[in-house]
Amino acid sequence: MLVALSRKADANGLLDPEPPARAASGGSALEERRSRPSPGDSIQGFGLGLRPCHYEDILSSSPRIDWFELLSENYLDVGGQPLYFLDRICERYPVVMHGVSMTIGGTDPLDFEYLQRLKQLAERTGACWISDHLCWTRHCGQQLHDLMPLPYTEEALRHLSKRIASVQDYLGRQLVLENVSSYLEFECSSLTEAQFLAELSREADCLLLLDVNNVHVSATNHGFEPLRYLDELPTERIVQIHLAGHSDCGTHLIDSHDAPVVPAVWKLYREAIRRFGQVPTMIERDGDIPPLADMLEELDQARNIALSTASCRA
Amino acid sequence: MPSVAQLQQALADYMLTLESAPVEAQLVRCGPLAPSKRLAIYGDGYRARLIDALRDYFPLLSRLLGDDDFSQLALGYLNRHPPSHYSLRWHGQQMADFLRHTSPYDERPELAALAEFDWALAHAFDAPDVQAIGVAELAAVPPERWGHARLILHPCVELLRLPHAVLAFHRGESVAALESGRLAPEVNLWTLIWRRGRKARFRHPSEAEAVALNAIIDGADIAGACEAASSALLADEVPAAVSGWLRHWVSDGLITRITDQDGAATDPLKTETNAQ
Repeated sequence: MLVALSRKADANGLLDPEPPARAASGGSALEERRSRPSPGDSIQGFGLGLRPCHYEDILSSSPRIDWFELLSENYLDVGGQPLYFLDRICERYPVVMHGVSMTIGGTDPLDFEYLQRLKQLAERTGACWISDHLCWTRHCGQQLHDLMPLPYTEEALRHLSKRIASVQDYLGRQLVLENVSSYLEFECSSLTEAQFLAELSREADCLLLLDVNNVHVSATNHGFEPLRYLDELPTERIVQIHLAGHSDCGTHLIDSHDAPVVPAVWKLYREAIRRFGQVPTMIERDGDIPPLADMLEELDQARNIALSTASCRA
Repeated sequence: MPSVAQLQQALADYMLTLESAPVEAQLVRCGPLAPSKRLAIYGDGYRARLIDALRDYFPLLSRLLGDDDFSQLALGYLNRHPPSHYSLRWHGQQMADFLRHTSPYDERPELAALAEFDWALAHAFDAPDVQAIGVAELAAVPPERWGHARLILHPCVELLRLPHAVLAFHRGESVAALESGRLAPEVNLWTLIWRRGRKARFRHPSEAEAVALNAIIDGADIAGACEAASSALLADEVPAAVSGWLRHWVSDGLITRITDQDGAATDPLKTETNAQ
């Protein structure tokens, strides 16, 4: 997925000319909260990625969405409108947190200040899960703001296992890791990505977020068989599924999240449900974001595929 | 076999320099896409993503310069200030300073002013939430303690001195400037930027109010702020003016704490008030 941190939608109505009347100041602290799920509590059904351009619609129409996934970095160092809406949406819907900056595969030391903020946000939102990506994003202090690929070697397996254990100890919960879209592979890899994920999730006792679009994008870019990839994953570790659109550049695909889910990805999603059952599923959209109603229609498509496939499976 | 750290070093070097040879040798050759093209997806994406993020946080600057010139500026900025914070939100923090000290942008002071204004508006919009004090807390400060009282301002507050043309450009009035790509520096106006409710706001305080507020931002107590204001007011006008500004600042939610110690965590005035 793209490292999405867009304020474009927030910027609508960002600035008001100063009106003559002055109201007394007041805090916006959330006073009452719904009963919170505990870390690791499961979500069910079908969700959407929470995006600022949908805040008002969500609060005014209370759409039939089972849960939202928030982009952790968008709420870590800020207050004001982003947190205002987040608090109110968390009062009404279960949420999970999805981050891009843990750099779990990196060789820089873990950033415990970042992890502390993540933990605080999880406490504030009552997030059921905290997820990030099987990748690295920083090296020698430089943030690359992209989900950089890893070599799938025994050394990488040991390296990530240790770091995941540290993160899980600190957060007091299992981490959920997502497969990324990739555009290059390392010669030294001795495992496939799916084998690596399976081995890593068992060794580190973490959970997996399966991004079906990412499997399709990487399979096209590297010429592997996507069904075999699904077959190699450990069913019992997969707790969430992502769906998204991508860009077709002719010679390769880019995971751009700026278009609807394509038929090939819907087909692969059906195969995923056939193998893994009705895993909670959501759609990510980060560019050219349509109105909420359109996202709900697309989500209904996921719902229909999952329900029909699961009933066949049963 | 290269280690994880060695591969990451090689790939990180490529991302910053676009020198592909060292890491290319480590990549699988597969399909119609050559390793150099595969690397370019990451290298180009890194630059495009950071340029887009800067465009989001500097909408006025971007509008004045136009897409191409802004992209060139953003690329220069990125080369000088590669990001080190985990959030893209903070990548543009040094933009105004970069414009002020980098040729050819340093010849156009209005660019740094626009960047400051953009950044301050974004900051007012999403600065951390801190509870502001109310009129009752202001009234509870004993008169004899006022001189040494210090005001702690909300983190969203910014006070800038901006060219009038920048503000006109923000209002969409400087169409000619937009067309020519230039804004002439003119009269400067004090501009107070903050957030009330969920919206960023700004207004233009008088010279006297601005210098008093600036003194407070610099750590002066109320007596110091009065002294600063006296540079722009008659001596007998100062007490009433400061009193009026204080009420105004409180009603706008600019003040989060009143204390009589230098940045101390404790709040002796408030503690004393609460104890009464």
